[in-house]
Amino acid sequence: MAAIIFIVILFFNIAIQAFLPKFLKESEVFGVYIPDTHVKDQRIIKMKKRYTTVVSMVGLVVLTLFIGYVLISSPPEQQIVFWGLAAQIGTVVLSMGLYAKNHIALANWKKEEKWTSGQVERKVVDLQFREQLKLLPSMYFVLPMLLTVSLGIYGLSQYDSLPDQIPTHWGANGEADAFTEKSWLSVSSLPFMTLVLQGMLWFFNRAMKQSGAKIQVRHKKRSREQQLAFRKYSSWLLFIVTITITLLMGYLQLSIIFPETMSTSVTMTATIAFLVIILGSVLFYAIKVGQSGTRLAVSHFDERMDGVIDPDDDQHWKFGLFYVNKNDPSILVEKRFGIGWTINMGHKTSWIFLLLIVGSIVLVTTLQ
Amino acid sequence: MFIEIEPDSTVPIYLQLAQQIIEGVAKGTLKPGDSLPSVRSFAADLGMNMHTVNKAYHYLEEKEFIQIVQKKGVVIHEKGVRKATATDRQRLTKEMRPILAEALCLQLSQEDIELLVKEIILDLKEVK
Repeated sequence: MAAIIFIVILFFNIAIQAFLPKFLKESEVFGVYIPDTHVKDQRIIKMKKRYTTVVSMVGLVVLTLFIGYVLISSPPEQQIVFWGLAAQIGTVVLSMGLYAKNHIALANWKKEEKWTSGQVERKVVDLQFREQLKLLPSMYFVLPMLLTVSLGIYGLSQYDSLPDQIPTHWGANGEADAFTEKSWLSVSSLPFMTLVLQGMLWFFNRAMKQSGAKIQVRHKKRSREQQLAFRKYSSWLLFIVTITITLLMGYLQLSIIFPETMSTSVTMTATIAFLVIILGSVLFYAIKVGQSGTRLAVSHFDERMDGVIDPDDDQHWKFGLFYVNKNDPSILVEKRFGIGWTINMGHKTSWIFLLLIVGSIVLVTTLQ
Repeated sequence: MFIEIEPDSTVPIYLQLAQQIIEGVAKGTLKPGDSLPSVRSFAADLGMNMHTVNKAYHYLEEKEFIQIVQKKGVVIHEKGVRKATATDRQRLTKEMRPILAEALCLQLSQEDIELLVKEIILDLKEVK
């Protein structure tokens, strides 16, 4: 069972990584801003293709080796987990290495050949963007939190009837395989962690509203429509994650309170359903929507415009991966190389947020 | 309505913002009572400091083109389109003076200047 889960996730990760350039904006390639005048540069197109070929080829070899290893030597679960993780990390390191090479090469071409010179940089703002933006209201994220809180309180109220050993980890077959002494802390740690996750998702949904819209000067109508849709889908994705986490964790919490109702097959099914829903939603988000909504068809077309380009903001993107801009009040920004969002490291709130997350994880793991 | 800013221009950014909003009001794309983005979201969209937007908004507030209402946010002033008062007229005279001086330096005749003014007004009133 663990092997199958690892194979599915490994396959999924390799596919997303290999085809990533296809899901991104044309104007941001390997973390480098590409002005409109150069998005059709043959060298760039070739570079993207080569990246996809190399990552998918190596990925396939790794995947085949892993599957062969599992089938031939049918190793114990611990070994599977170890090699599964090693394979995941290996492919990530490979694709990041290729990314770094391409990032540097592109940045150099752009600088040496002065791609942005002779063009006027122009930043576009849509005054009505926030009015048209349709994100899910906070209520959708707060209600699941209330459910978790009530389950947590319920668990504590049943404290005396709980077994002396509280499960803290479940194996791939749905069976609890790690336990801890019963205490007020260990009984409330699961709802607490769930609450932290739910709070995080709620925070993201709110931060998305304040995040700066990136309207492209040569494609104002198209980029506005795609951005609005991308944010709407992002909000829905966050909601789906919140709901599935709430249900899975709620189920586990109930199975702690009523161990006799605990059935390993139900736990397994719940976990698999959780995985399928999350992976499916992410696939839809990547393939149908695309980063910044680039893969969505639009109903508005822009007239051709020459002589202007979007401002080059490469100086705010460290290695093309980390956004650091003290002036920008956005906390969340759209990723350059990847699907989804990243935080503005130049913003105080981002650091407070990171500290809170790390702090709560450390708190729960050390207190147990 | 789209606003377009040129960060490398010699015209300060806050002035570019304010001038384009005034132009929006003149053209009728922005109507009295229409709301404008909050300082925070506007700055986020620009990827620039909130001070810049604040400065633009205060400039517009002073000229009575926008109203900053607590809780409701920023809206186009209900008197955004109005009969010029004596102070409005005085201010405009003062602001037009350096531009006309520049035009005289460039040896534009009065007819040239009048033609220019006509063209600009026509462009602003053009219905899109």
